[in-house]
Amino acid sequence: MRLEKCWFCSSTIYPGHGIQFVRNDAKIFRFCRSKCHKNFKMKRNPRKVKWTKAYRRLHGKDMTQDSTFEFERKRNRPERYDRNVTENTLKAMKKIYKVRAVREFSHIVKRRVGKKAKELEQAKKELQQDISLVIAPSSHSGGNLRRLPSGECFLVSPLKRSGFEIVILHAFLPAVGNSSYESNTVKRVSPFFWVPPSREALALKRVLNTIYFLLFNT
Amino acid sequence: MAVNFASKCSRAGSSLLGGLGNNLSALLSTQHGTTSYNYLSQQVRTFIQMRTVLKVVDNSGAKKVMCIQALKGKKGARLGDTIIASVKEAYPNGKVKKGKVVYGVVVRAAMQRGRCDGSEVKFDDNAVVLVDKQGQPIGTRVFGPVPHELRQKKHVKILSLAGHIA
Repeated sequence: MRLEKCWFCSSTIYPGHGIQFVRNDAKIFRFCRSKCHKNFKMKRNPRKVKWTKAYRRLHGKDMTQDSTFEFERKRNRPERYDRNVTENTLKAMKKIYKVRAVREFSHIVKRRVGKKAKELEQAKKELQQDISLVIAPSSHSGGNLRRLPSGECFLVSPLKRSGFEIVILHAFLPAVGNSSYESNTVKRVSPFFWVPPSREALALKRVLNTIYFLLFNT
Repeated sequence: MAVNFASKCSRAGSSLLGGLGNNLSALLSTQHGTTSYNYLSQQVRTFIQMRTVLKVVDNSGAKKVMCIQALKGKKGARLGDTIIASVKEAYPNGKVKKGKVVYGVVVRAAMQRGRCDGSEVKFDDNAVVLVDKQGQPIGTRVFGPVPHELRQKKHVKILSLAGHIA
């Protein structure tokens, strides 16, 4: 029995699985599951679909060229059964998988070098641009309720850490006319309540994300 | 201690903001994510039954035949089954003339058919090879791919004439 590769996602098709489609020019398309078959029927290109092997190879996500892949080959001549050869093959397979896993890991590590520094750079830039959106509680006397020009309100709570005084977003609240801080605290609105899709709110969310990032990644 | 606190806070913070982000994306997607793939849904392929028109993929002289009876199965014929058909279109000077009633073996079917190992196979179109009552092909050539299941149906002659076996 031969283990074929799925035309769409390149995973192995074990016997009894999937469907194969034979085009009139006798090209055979094998699919490992209905998901891949449906994607084919939708005329999707596997190189543009992110979860396929083709995409990952094309975009340098996975290791493509390695000597461990050389062992997996299509042979059209059946091997004559030999007990010793079979035994050795089974032993070698384990070893090859181990070597491949180690190399894949190092590939991913290599791929991610420099990502953190880049993110930090971006975060710092972001912070410089939009820090004006965040107010410190000390400058905001009394209540912790902040209202955006578009009418949405949100609560802020301070967090003191290593000399910085930083406002952390606590909850977004929908715009309620004449809502006081007290009534909102009584309601105890969940922090995942609702995000008003206004530009200010989005910018604020972004800058707070950045603050978190800088706080815990430096 | 400080490290612990930091990690806790970061987790809480990311979940907090992440939750907000999720809600936002859900909100946006509900607005314009509903009308997808309707135009891409395909016709459901079904059995070869009475009035199904099939392509003739041999040089018997017929171009198109219409199924008038499936010899096996209550619902209709599938890949590899034999049908009785009437010739709807034919080449001039062929062995088979228009209007004749002929026997044919379904060598390609758009409806999927299970294979012996549990997987499935389907083809582009519905195609037939004309045979006589004994099962010998009328033509001398077979065009396009045919499934290897024909061997179990004792149509070895068709298999040997075919260029591609899938």
